[in-house]
Order: sequence, then C-alpha cells, then structure tokens
Amino acid sequence: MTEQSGKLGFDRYLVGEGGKRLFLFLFGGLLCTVGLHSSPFAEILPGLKLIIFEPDYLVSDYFHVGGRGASFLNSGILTLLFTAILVYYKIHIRGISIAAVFTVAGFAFFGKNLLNVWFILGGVWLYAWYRKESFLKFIYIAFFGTALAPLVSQLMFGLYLPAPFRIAAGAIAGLSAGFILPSLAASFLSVHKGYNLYNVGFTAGMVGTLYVSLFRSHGFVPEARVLWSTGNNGLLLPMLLGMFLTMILAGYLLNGRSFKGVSSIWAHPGRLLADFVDIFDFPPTLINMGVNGLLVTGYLLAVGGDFNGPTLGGIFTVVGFSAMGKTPRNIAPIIAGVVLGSLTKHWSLSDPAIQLAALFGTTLAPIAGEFGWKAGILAGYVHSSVVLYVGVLHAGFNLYNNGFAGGLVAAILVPLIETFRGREKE
Amino acid sequence: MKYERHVVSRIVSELMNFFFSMGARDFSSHVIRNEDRFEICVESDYAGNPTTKIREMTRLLRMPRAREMEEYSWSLSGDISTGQEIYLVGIMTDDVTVEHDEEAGRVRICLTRLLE
Repeated sequence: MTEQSGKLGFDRYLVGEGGKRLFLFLFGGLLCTVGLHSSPFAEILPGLKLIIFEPDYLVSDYFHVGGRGASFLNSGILTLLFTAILVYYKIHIRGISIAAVFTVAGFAFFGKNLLNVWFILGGVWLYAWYRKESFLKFIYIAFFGTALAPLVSQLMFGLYLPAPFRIAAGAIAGLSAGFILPSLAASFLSVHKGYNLYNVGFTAGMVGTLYVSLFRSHGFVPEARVLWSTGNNGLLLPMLLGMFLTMILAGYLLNGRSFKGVSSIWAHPGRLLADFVDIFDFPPTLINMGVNGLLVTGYLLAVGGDFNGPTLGGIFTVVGFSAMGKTPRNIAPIIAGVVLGSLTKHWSLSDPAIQLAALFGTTLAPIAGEFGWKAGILAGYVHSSVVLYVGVLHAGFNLYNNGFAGGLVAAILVPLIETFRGREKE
Repeated sequence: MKYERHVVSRIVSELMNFFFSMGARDFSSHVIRNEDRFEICVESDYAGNPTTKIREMTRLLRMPRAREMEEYSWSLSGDISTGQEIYLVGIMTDDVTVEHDEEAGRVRICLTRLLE
C-alpha cells in the first residue's frame, strides 16, 4: 500500500515565479527595443496615433497602417502591461499565461492596440463585479477576449456620425461584448471539446456574428479589406531566428544542460487544457516554444510568405500556444493539410489568407495529437477552406477568425472521427 | 463559483471515466457537501498493471489549485478521458490523498474543494 497526500508546491519547478515573469517582461522589452530601433522616433508617435485611430478589422497590418516602429512599440507596451496585470493579481505564470500574453503581443501587430483592448477587459471586469467575484477568475477570458477589440475601433472611428455618438457606440459595444464573453466561453468549450485551442476565438466569432448581424440589419455594411505589407523579411527573419534559438538554448541550460522532458511534451496530445509549464516545467516548454517557432518560420520562408504584422502575429501565437498544447508532432500534420489543399484548391500557399490559415490553423493541433497525423492532415485540409468563408459572418471584427473556423471544423470532424475510429476499448 | 455542483459532478465523472478506461469493474464515489467545502472520495479497481498511469494520475491530481483557470476550463472535465484531463481535476481541488493498494489492485482517492 502506498499513500501520497497534499498538493505539490511551486518550489518544485526548476525556474521560479520570478524567472517566468522576467521572461515575459524581457519579451515585451525586446519588442519595445526593436520598435524604437526600426523607425526614426519622429515617425513612431504619429504611427501609434494612426494605429489607434484607424478601424482595424481583419486584415489590418499595423506595419502598413503605422509603420514597423510603432507596431513593435504597440505590441511591446501591451505585452508589458498585460504581464503587469498578471503580476498585480499575483497569478502564477503557467502555460496559459504565456499563451495569453504571446497572443496579445501577436495580435497587437494587426488589430489590438493601446486603446481598443481596454473596453473588452472593462466589460469582463464589469461582469465579475456584477457576479461579485474576483476579476482574477475571468482574467484569461478577458485577455483572449480582446479578439473583439476591432469592434471598438470600427464604431469609434469608422462610422459617419458625430464624435460623441461614435465614441459612445464603440465603448458600449466593447464593454457589452466583454460582459457577455465569460458566460459563453465555458459553454462553447463543450461544442468542440477542447480540440480547438483558440476557444475564445470560437466564442468571439459567434459574438461577432451576432453584433454584425445587428449592425447589418440597421444598414451598416462593413467593407472588406486586406492591408498587407511586404519587404520586411530582412529585419524580421534574423530577429525571429535569434529569438527562437535563444529560447532553445536558454531552455537547454535551465534544464540542466539537457533536453529532458521535451519528448514527454511531444508525446502529449495537446488537447485543452494541456498546460505544459505546469505539467512538464518551464525549461522543456521553452525548448518546445523555440522549436515550434523555428518550424513555422521555416515554413513561411519555404512557401515564399511575407514576414509582416499578421504573419508575425501568427508566429507569436503558435509560439505562445507551444506552452499550452502545440508541439511539432501535432502542428506539422495541420500545416501539411493546408499544403495538400494547395494542390487541389484554387489558391496559392503564398496568398495572405492561406499564409494565416497555415499558421493559425494549428489551433486544431489537438486533433492530430489525439487521433493521429492522418486526422490532422484532414483537419488542416478542411480548415483551409472553411476559414476563407466564415470571416464574412463577423466582418473581420473577430481577430481570431481561425479560432472561429477551427471551432466549427472541430465540432464537425471530432464526432465523425470518433465514430469511424471503431469501438471504444474497454 | 456559480457552477459549484456542476464542477463537483464533473470531477467525479472525470475520475470515473479514467478508471473505466483502465478496465475498472467496481467504481464507487462518495461526496459530502459541507458549509465551506466539498469532500469527494472515490474508490476503484482496475485491470492489468497500470502502475505508471496511476503514478502520473497522482502527480496530476497533486497539481496546485488554479482559481484563475477554472472559469476558462471547468466545462472540459468529465467529457473525454485520455488520462491527461486528470490535470483539470488537480487544478480544481485544494487537497488530495491517493492510496494505492497494488496487491488488491485498488485505488482510493479523497479530494477536497474549498468553497469561497
């Protein structure tokens, strides 16, 4: 007879709380530094102003809107602020914290800015206040929920109405969207059973669809647009390679000069909620993040993709979710499915929407992790079609369009795969 | 939390799923609701020699509670059991005792979930 009792302490980790917080602050600091060095300072503040005052529904590349320097600074400052919120609430840094902060950082290159995110957070805070509970409990829904931030910007700066009405409309839309998200996020999880990693993206897609339907029925017709910059590869490629190699090296050194634990991460299916930092510790997770970063950067390079705001957002989101679900083993089949799609469908792998579909489509990685590479390829193949046609429902107001599409794909594919997989083993 | 009873029933469901996936034929649960806590005890047999699985289950059940993740993740538990979902049970409970009788092929788990 053996008996074990009591919870494990946070002191079991090789890297303490301070180290993990430092990592997130360093990441934010790096983004700010790159921003300050990639554009003349005189261009950065006007660029930030443009980023804040432009409607920024999908796809609005902030490199195109406000320039590289302002985009990096926008992302870096938001990263620092969101990390500071986690520290303020004394939240232990886990995989989900890293995924949330990296997702905010990534989407701050094409949709989230220093103004619009706070209305969503404010709405979630109001919900917590209404429920008489701590905001802490809803903090990750709030962080991921900033996917709906373009709703705020579009109404504030994209309507032909007097300023007070526009500002009030944007604020009310953002606060109300944030207010309803927490109730919906948990229930939508059961639709795809955790096989879509960007669950709030799925929820936000539904909410965005509802809002846009209301707007359309009142005569407001959002225009589709793709702002997509090119010619940034020279700056971004060395930065990304340096960042990911440093992550691998740092993880290796912190791990006692070993890759111990990495194979366990790679054997994990990755279905939500696979918090790699909690389950396997921070150093092997850092190695996984670096390896996945190199993998998707290499893919983008191989297909002749553009390194710009949106693709940088995709890469950072993959890297962030490599602390919570993504491994090379489960993302590669999804990307392979998108590549396979290019052979039979009418688009090219270097089309902007398809570049994003390959990167963000890895939201379906748990399907490959759980059911094998063939199921993963099928998921990637189907996703690369679905994602092209669901954006019209929310008019690009939900930045996590792939999370929305991924939720639909997972909700349909997973029960079918389970049916055809054969009888459940006893 | 608004959904306390759902959370507790999903914890029991998750553990039941887990033991059935290990060939259990005799699973029982006992839940006590106090003013300030839920006490959940389950006992089960299993088939074969799943020592490694039980060791991993124990490690995951001993993960510290994470209140900030509950609203985001509680509805995932109790649905599918691949073994790793036991982590969700770990982060939704405040204390745990796992007794493993290898000779008898039985495991007894007692969990405590504090209310606010």
